[in-house]
Amino acid sequence: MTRTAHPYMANSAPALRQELLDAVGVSDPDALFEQIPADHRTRHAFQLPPALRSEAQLQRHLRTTLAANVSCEANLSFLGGGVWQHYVPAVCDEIAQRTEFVTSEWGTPASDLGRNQAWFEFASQLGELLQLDFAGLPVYSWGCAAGHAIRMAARISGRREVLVPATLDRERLAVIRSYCAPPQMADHIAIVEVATEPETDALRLADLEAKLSSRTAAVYVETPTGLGALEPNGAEIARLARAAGAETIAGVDPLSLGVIAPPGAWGADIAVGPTQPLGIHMNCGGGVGGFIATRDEERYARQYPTLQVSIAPTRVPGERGFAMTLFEQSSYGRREEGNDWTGNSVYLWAIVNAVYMSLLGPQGFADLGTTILRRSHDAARRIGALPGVEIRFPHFFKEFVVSFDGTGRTVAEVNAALLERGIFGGADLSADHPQLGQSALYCVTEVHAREDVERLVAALAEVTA
Amino acid sequence: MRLGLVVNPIAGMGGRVGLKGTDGPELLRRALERGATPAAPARAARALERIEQRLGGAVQLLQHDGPDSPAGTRAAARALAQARVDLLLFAGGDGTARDLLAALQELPQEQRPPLLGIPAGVKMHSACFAATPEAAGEVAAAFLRDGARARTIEAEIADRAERDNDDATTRRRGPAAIARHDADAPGRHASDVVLHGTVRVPLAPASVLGRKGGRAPASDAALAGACARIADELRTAPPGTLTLVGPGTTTARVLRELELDATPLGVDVVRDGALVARDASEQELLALLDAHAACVAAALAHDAAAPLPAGPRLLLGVVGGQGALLGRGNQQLSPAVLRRIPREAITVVADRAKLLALDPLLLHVDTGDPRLDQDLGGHLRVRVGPRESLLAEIAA
Amino acid sequence: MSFPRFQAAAWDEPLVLELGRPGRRAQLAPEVEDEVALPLADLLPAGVAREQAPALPELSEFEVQRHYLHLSQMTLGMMGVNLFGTCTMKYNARVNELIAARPELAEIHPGQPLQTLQGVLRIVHAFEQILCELSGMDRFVFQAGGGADAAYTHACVTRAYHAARGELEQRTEVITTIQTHPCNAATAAAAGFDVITLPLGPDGYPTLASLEAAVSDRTAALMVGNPDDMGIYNPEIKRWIELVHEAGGLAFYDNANFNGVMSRIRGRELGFDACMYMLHKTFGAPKGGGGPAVGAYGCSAELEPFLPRPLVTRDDATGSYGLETAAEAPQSIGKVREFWGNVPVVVKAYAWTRALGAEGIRDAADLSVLANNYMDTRLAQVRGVARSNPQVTQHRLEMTRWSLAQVLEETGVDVHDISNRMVDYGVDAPWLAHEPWLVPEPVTPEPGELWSKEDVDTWIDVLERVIEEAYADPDLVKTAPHSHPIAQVDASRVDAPSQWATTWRAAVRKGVVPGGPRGAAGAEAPA
Repeated sequence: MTRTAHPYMANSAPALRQELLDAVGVSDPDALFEQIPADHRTRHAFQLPPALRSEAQLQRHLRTTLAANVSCEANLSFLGGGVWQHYVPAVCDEIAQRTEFVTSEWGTPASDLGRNQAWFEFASQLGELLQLDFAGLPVYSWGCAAGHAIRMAARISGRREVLVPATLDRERLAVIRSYCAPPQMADHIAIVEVATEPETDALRLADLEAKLSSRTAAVYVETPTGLGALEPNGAEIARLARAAGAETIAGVDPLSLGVIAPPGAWGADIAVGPTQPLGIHMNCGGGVGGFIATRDEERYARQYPTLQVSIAPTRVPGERGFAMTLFEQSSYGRREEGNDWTGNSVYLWAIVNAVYMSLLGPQGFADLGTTILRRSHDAARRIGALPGVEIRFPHFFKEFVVSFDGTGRTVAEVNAALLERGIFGGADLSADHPQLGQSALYCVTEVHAREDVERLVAALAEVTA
Repeated sequence: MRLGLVVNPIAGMGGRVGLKGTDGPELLRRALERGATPAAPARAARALERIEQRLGGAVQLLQHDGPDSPAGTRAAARALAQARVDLLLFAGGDGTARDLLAALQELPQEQRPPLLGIPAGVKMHSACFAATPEAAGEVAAAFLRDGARARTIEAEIADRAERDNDDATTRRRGPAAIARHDADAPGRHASDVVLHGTVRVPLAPASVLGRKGGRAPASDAALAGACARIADELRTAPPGTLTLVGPGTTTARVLRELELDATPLGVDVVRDGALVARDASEQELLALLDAHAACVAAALAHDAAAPLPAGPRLLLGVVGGQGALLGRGNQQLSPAVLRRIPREAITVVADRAKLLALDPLLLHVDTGDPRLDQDLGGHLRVRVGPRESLLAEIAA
Repeated sequence: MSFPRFQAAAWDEPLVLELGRPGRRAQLAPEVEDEVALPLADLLPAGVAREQAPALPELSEFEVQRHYLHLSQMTLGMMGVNLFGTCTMKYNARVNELIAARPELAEIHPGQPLQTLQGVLRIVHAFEQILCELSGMDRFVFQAGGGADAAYTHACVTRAYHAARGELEQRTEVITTIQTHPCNAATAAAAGFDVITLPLGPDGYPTLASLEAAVSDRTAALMVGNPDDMGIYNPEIKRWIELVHEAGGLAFYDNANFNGVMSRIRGRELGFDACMYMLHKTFGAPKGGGGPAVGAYGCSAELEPFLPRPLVTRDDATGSYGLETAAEAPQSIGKVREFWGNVPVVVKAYAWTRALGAEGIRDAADLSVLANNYMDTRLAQVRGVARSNPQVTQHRLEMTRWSLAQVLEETGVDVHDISNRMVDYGVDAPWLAHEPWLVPEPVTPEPGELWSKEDVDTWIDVLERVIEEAYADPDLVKTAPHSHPIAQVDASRVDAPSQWATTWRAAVRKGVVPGGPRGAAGAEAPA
């Protein structure tokens, strides 16, 4: 083989390859695979697309292929529902691209100091937003965080039932369902739906009280809800749950917490939520991550499935470092006896989240939350003013439900017409939430300017006329 | 922080010269003849160095120098216990551990300090030894520093019967064996291991061990879970099920889960959630098995469709640190008794780290009936967690 | 031998929460027009407004940028030589990062109309075909957020498969081996199965007899890696799979160590029903210090109905791509994570396979095994270093596990000390071993195809030097590192509730900040 060396492989230079073969004392690498029996080796003639060995060729291929996508920068988008379009500050992008962070694996506490500190700053700033003292490194997603939190509550209480809002986001519910295991399994956790108020999407307290019992491990409540609505009764829900000996798990949008009361302030025991809004691009859904946080009590701390970074001393008095705390209860430490499992997660995003929170600061979160509330409510008011169009729930943060029932149009028809006008309309809820009829979930954030809202309203007026 | 230290200067001297210990003047004489030199003081120094690294001058060391006889070791232990040390650290082997056990057993329970062994003996079947002198130092330092928060667990003191103290049989080398310092030591198989009693030892906090794939964290949550689940199974067994419970600290934990007062060194028998015999002899066991068989036969005759009392069942722990399953410390479980219990009705429970320290992972049976030993051979699941079994091979 | 002279950046960087001054700003929110600027009281229902502002830092934009650049500079990672075994350190091509940052990928939403996602769907589909080629499997799904999540996916698929056959109540056990990655046992247990672990036999892999003893009509699945992390291949694996199949169980291949056998073996041909590849390891996507990652889960056509959804589809008539949702797949396990997975990681892995092509992939496997065998010849000469499983004399695959037990015995220096000292030479800590440590004082280097012979030599030289230091001056090694921004961390107390602090607010409240809080935060903190 005298092909040109491959840029990714230093020893593919022919002379180097030969040097290694000579040192090992074989003439052909084949000899090194002697452990694999002949009848295990494939005779398959691999049919892979041709190699694009030059970076220029490769870049051209990827760029032109992806050009078939239409991004939310090219079109005007009102999609949300688990991944949301927010502005990503340039410094977030710069740090997300730092090769030291991008390519790192696992070193020593000293050689990983910078990354460990950034992780600690992620948990610390999240703790300030949530008003909770204990936070783990992130898990794969909000749904996964909720699933783990429910399993934590089940281990704490020894109970095997969780109450969730009936209108819970279906994507998230599907993940939670996996974590709660099917009924045939011994450790199955039953998911019981609690009705929500048709006017506000708030949890119906009478139904919650009726369903709370000595079987209830946890009440899972969200604010904003999967349908965007703010839950006004968090404290009362937590009180009822506590009275029944159940944990309150709160699902919250951290970006809302500059203006919305944090879960630690209204009595939630475990907080979970998405990390994507904190400076991560949507990435076709690949930007999602989830957090878990609680009060700093052993009862909770000892049930975390995640890795946690603690501040710690070094050999030098007064010097700071960081170490993993409660590592042994993870699956790395204890295999199948660990709390669920952990592994690669979205730790690079945690660093970017830390950057984002530092960039915003207390006033930034307050201002951004205010801007989003004002923009989204303005959009909702204008959309709701269209004939036959109705806004379902009055209290929301950045997402709201728009009903098109009165227009005689389906959401599919509306969205198809919007797409012709370069607009991604809100997500169609009609299949997942049939009780809402022909409704869509619209997301309006700080990325939307007044003219964007006006363009949407004008387009909706046309297509619903 | 008060740390008591006992160094048996002659411990371990037999190992490198092919003897199985230095217990008794004759073995010591032969060891010296073969050119043995004291190893324990150096190993103790390594542990102390680690303790000093971790705790600096905060620890007060009380040492009893060179007790070179069992009586001397016992006297040292008594003196240190009376001096109220927080931990009794010793460098030696099983023989030293037995002497310390004997001394501690003379004291009231609340006056016995926890014990921790720096491995320095030839024989280390007891479960009170750290893996290396440095590990002993780490565990001791963490235990002393944690003070009132430090936790202990029960550990077995075991030793080989003295009649067998003679030149070595070659240890079977394990698949992953790397020449360890004692790999050439004789007597690493289980023959004649006798359980002498239990002591409290520090539960090593995971934090003293490596992070991300470090050494096995010494949490005993998995074993606790295994015991709890087995207790659950005993609780939910069909009415009338007879379960024989072998000796050892682990099986005793299962009975404690059932709020039964176990005999750690004897065989107990459980039926319908109650002890029907404590520390039973072979004859008592056979009588109970007869009664049980009659009961099953009667039930069958009465109504073939009714649920039968299952069993008899047998619950065993792994005695000592060398994988002894049957025939050591539990001779009441005689061939006659064991013949009455189907192999699949035997449940074995053990600590995972303790099992994995066996290399190769062999459990030994020596019932006195070679054919029975052979019938018991083959692989067997050992319960190591509420959800996990580790497959072990039984060797006759 | 020449040694890298190394000194890590030491910025003495305070926590971001200790930086800044009240009133400074790094990002301003877009302002809304006056007529839209309603007071919050008109926008929020009673009682839901936040009362107390979060105690976040207040900095200028440059201060934030500089702080995190400093932290990046204090992260060694792959900046030196890093042969972190089992993780297959590769070159993570910069062009892929730039492509992934383009709005056509970064700023797309998975709920967009499919006609606006044809580019990314095309890549995901093409990459699925590539993995099917390499593995022999029929379908792949990329929803799992890492290798462990793919193992969990398999546990969920196993539940659904046996449930569909009415056997789930009966099939309660998953069999794994002691050298298979712990995530297999952990996820099987988390999914509700009992786990039976097979120990190693005399040839370095578990015996067939132990598997025979473990398999029964309760067997739900076998979850196993091969070759293992010691570089040993189980030559009886085909018989293993037959045994499990005869008992009615599924066989899952944790292909964590695929790098050395790429294009030489295909999991499906060995008989496996399902397998997992880590795109952030074997397929050249970056690790990000622990994700975002993808555990690509592949399976036979028989298991396809149970896969999580959506799956990417192609309409051969029109050449357009689509998604098959759970609504169209009644037997699907649903989801293990929201959406389709970490799509940018899939794009980067696709780019890696395209950059190499079939020949390049085979080359990469050859070079990684060749480099490891080169390491073997050199490491065998190093004092105190012993090869694990010495009875297995055949060439190892892409990594070998070594033991430094002799060094510990003779010097009191353990592998953690050695790791801490190696970083003083700019060589980040080697991988030791997964739990449990069957080999005492383990070290598991993996050179892969990236690192040059010079890099590999440097790594070995550094190890050799550190071992020499252990014999000559053990304290030097035990007190390492000495060339890093901080000294050895004392983690001995972080498992104590009064001492652990995972957030700044907890650390300040508990008074466990070494040296006390600094800067403005120090001035304001309670004494």
